[in-house]
Amino acid sequence: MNIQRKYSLPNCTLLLEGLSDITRSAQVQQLRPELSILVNAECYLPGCNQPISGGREFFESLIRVVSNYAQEFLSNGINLPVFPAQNHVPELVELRRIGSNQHRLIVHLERAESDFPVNSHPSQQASQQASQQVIQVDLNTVQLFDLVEAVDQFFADSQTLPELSLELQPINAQYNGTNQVLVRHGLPAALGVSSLAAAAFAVNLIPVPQVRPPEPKPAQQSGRTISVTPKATSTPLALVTPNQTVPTTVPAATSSPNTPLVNATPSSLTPISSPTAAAITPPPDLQAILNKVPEITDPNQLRTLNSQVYNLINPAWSSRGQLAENLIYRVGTASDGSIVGYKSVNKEANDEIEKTPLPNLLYSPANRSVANQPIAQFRVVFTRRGVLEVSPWLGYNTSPSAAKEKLTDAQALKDLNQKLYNSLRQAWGVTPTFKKELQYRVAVNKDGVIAGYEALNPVAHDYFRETPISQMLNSLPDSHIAPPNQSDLVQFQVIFQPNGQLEVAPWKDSH
Amino acid sequence: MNVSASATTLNNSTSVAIPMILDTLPDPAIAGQGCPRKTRLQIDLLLLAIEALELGGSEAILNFAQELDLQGIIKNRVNLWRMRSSNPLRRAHIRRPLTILEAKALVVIVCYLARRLTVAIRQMLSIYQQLYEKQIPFEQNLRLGNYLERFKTHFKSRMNNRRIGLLALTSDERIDELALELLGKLLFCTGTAGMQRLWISLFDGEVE
Repeated sequence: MNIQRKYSLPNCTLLLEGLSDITRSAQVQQLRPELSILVNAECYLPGCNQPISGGREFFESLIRVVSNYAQEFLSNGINLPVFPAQNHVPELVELRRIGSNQHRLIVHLERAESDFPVNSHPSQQASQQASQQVIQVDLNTVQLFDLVEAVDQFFADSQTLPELSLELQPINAQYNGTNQVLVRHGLPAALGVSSLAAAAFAVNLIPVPQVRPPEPKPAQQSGRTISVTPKATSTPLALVTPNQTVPTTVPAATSSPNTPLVNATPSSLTPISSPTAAAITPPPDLQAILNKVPEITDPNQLRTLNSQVYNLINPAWSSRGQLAENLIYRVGTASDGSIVGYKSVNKEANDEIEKTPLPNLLYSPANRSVANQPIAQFRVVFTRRGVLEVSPWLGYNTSPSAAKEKLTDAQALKDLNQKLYNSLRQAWGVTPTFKKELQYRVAVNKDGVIAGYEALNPVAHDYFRETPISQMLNSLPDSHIAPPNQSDLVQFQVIFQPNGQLEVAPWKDSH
Repeated sequence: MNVSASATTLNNSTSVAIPMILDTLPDPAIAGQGCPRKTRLQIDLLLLAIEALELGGSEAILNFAQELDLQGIIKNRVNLWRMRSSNPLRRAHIRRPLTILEAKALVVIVCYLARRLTVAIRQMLSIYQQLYEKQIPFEQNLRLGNYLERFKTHFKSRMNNRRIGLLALTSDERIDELALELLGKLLFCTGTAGMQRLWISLFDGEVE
């Protein structure tokens, strides 16, 4: 049965012709049968004597591009990544902004159709190439909107190609920072050499978890301190079993680098487990560990760990831009942020594990019992474009909120705010090279000493070294950090503006 | 060792039934309870454009809140003002988060108001196009001129000079451009999927 569907707007009409699937429609007598096979799609636009028409491929490209462009228009021209149905196939339809109120629709049609009206209006050109026809139509914003609306009405119509529906998602923060990646990759060779040296240095440092920034929470503080206290005991109370020992090597990791799952956690959960034992016993499955130990699902803790994991892996990832595919891993971490196991999710991730810093970062548990230590799981993606992505494996079950420490005395808060501002202002001498503001959540103790931080936007991760926070953290004697009492910490939001402005304000969650 | 905040006090909103209409808008995957800066800014500017389009726009916002059963979220004038003052450009900017629920309610109202003003918005954008092509100053048209004038007045009186200076929004031309850009966005809000489209766009580049 031949079916026509028409979506008509003042400046645009979309006409679809097709058939209904007999096998399906026979079962139910419908008033308005479902158009399930598209034969022809026509798009009537102002200034064109004839419609732009094509088959399903053209139509799918049209609705995808138009829908994406509408989002781009609404979100102030952030370029949205276009995901064509098949990768690397160029879109048949393109939309470009050519002025504040002008949008150019370009359609590539794969056939010689010389009867298309040529140049009735200067803004349209139909040029005849070998076998490809390019139609170009300039639309103003109202006309563009009518095209979008026609497409949206089609999406909303459940009786016409129901498998195509509107799926909107905000784009990832990474796309906001695309140019940073380009800049990073475009660095001159000289810089590359020095960063290689720096990276080599960093890799040397990795077994000692010094590079990890401290967090306001005491359990995670421990990572920075190198103390001479004896080996951690097996007490399940994690507060007294931080990784106080300096890990020497990564025995389990090196013993089986090519297995899809490398796990340094010894299967013997005895308090005193020797490195040899860990190396000999086959590494248990991440899943198996999870069956034994509780998983961390608290959103606040996950969020803190998330940024710890990012901060751990990101500086250690030196050979960016050498990947053919995105490498995806499922990574398990202990509550102090150390990586206790990982598992490749895709095949490439398994093959190219050596190109990631993960084997080096794997925490050696030789001297520590992990019995009953809760584990958090993250999805870690090393993208082809050199961007690291870390997110909780199962997402956040609720929104994280600021931890509950509150300084009630308004005057004291104000003084502390001023104190932090002054010390940051004084220490911030470098001319900013970042283009976007850097946002941090900073925890300070009653004396105004910074005890931890968290970067709130991706740029803030990347340019952390440029901020005075990094120096102020490093210059601290360990004694200051070791016993931070959670209740003593006050949190502030700190923003570094590209123009040199500094903003410090008490951190406020929504209460 | 778990030093997280207790989550018991988080959802005081659940005690009030969440209006059905807000369910059409998905929760964005952002961390924290409050909306990002961009979201707060855009919502307030769109409302500002509506106020410039329609005399008594702020009254209409409150009326629509009543009509759409959103008065549990947008309680009164002061409450509305406080939400809008979460826009960082505001002179009276208060460091108060705009919750996702509040943002949804405001977006719903923006779209309903825009839909009601569809004809005016379309006409004005068409006029703008014609004047632009003929290089005629926009003030020549009474309707468009009025809108731009009102928007400028509102914008200058309510926004912090230093902060709009950072965005290079000080000259009248730039403010006019902003007003016209917002007019285009309002048009997109009037569509079948306008509400979803606007909502999603507010979190572009902000999700993790």
